Amino acid sequence: MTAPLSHPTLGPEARSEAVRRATPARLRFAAVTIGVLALLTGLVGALATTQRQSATTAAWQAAEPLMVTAQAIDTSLSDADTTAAASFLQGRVEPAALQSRYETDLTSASADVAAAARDAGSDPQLAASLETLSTDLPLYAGIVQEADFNERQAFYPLAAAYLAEANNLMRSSILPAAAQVYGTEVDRLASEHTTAVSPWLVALAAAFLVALLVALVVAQRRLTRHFHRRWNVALAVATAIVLVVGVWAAVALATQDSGVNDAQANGSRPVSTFTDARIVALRAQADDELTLLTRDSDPSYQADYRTAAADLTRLLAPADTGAATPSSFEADQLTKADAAFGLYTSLHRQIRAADEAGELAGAVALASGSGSHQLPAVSSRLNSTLSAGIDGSQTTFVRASSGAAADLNGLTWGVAIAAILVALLALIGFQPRIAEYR
Amino acid sequence: MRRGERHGRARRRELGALVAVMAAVTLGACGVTPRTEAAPTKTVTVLPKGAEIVHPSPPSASTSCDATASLPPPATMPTPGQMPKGSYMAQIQARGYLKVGVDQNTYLWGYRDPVTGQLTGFDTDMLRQISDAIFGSDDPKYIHFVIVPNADRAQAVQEGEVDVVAETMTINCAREKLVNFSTVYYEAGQKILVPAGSTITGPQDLGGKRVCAPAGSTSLENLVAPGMPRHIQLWAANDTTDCLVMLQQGQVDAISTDDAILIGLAAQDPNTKIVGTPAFSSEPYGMAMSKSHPDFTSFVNGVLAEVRANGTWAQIYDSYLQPFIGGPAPAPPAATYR
Repeated sequence: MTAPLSHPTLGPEARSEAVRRATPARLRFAAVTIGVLALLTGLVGALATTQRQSATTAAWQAAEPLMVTAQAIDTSLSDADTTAAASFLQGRVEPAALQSRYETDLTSASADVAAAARDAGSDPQLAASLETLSTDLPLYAGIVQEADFNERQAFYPLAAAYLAEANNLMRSSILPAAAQVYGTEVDRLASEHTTAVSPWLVALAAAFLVALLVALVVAQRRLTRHFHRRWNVALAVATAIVLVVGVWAAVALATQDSGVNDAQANGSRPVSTFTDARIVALRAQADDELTLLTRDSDPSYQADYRTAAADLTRLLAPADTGAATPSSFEADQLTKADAAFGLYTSLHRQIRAADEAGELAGAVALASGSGSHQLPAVSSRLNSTLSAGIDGSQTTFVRASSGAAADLNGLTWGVAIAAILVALLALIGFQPRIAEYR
Repeated sequence: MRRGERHGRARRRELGALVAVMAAVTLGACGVTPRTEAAPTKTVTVLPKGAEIVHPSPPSASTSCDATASLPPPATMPTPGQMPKGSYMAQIQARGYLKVGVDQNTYLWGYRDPVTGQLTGFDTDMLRQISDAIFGSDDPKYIHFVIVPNADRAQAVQEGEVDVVAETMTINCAREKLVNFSTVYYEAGQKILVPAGSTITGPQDLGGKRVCAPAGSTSLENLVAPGMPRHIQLWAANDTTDCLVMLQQGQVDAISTDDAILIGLAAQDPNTKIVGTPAFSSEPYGMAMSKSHPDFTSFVNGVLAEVRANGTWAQIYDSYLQPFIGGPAPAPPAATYR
């Protein structure tokens, strides 16, 4: 501080001013401030991109498969329930196709329950639901087997009573547990999505970035003014790096954001809609079958059918996605499903009318025949349209999510390396000026 | 008919073991930690829908009435296919079919044959005699079966939803106020169905036992009538067949209702027996018809009189009940008229 200053071109007044303002301590302080700011910007930026990338990746590599598994449990079980009823309604002992469909449903549900349990984590409610599924599924299978055994003995009423008991276990315990597992996984995916587009860290990083830019520009202007150097190459390069990385991050994050939103709007949301519709459609079908099959004293199946039909109508209505327009694929599948459900509804009316008019044999024929306008064919058309909706939306989801995750590839490292470079360049940029005071 | 060679009970034990093993394997395989109370001793109770413990009140003192005396048949029965003008039977003939209310879950009485897919049983066969007598043909197109829940039997007749109901329906004074009954076509009485190895031999042994009967039935009331043992734990199920499910699952010790229905349950489980003979209640079965057309009740009584006399009653008895009761067909219940 006591070293004499010399600046050939400055007048004494100006020089003393420069002396006062550009002491080495100040210069060092500015260098360190910019360096630290650069490192902090890098740190927050890297955190933000890491958080987004890992949530985006987790959404499609972990949460979404779990949701698909949970959805598969729910639909397999609903399908098993309907299939068991259908095979009894057909009256022939174990129609081979239905028997194998029922078995496939149950085995894949068990396998999926095991898979879901592996990834259940520590959520106690999820664990409890999975335990319910594990214990009740074999019981369910046992009761259906008992129904089957009695049907083989031609003890039809007893077979039907066992089947009704199995159905009651399915609806009062198993399906609610499956729905709970499915709901948990849907929530988990939604929370990954929220994290994947979380704006807070990004906003903080952006604020740091702006502060860094401002600091760099101010520093350069002051250095230019006080030391009459037109360019401080190091600081200019640092500024350029900050700008480039800033633009890169902005573009990448915006693309990732829209990719995640696309995955949600045209992927996981319609997957959910189609899944719910499929489960409800299967329930409505089981209601119709069980009405004919088991209970002359239980009007609750038709009451349940009306609820299910109302739910299905709501689910198949043109999607209300808020601002986003549903993809043409989704709209097409919904239209097709709605048409298939229309056919189902009119068949349902015919079956009810026949049953109520006392033409039970006719009602049973409509509900179990193999013709293209009888229940098995009509319901399978509805089912396959809805599964096509699930599969198609699922493909969109995976494509959009993996794309969104890839959008951020390298950004974290880019930001981190850029931050270190900028910090170094700041030190380098100030070093000669500081050295002038030695 | 009796095809239950395999012992249902042993089979169920196997099944239980299988279920336990499967549950254990599934639990182990998927790493779910069973809660402490869910150790291997955990018993999962699966009940038929709606089954519950009930506390019925004893049957009300019987109002004196002669409910089993019905309207006398017409002096001459009309020729089948030519029903008298203005009669209710002529209306049925004009409509083209007889609408009958039946049950489809009461084995041997009204149930769907899994082989033919047709409704069959003692009650449904009796009803076919009426459509034959109206149309002069046993073509199934002349009879439409409507499944009527037990609780709605009187209402279905009163509202004209069906022309006639035959559903193991006991003639009594309360119901007689709502509908016209035919003459008695079967004499049932309340007995008890127990597992073959049970020590229960009659109602006196039911104290402290778990006993199932159909919900809302007089069978439940009869079990708390004066003279019955106390502390019977009564279970009501939606359907008598649900009672058999509970008996097979070990959830009740006995089923008590009309012997006619118990015969059908016993027929579906060779490892059961009917005890409590003689019956501790009288359940005369009649067909129910609307009070608005007494000519139809008279006509049905005429059909029943023919059916008793010409051996059809015995034939129907032989095809459903005889294989499970044994011995020759008894004489059909005698008709009494007002």
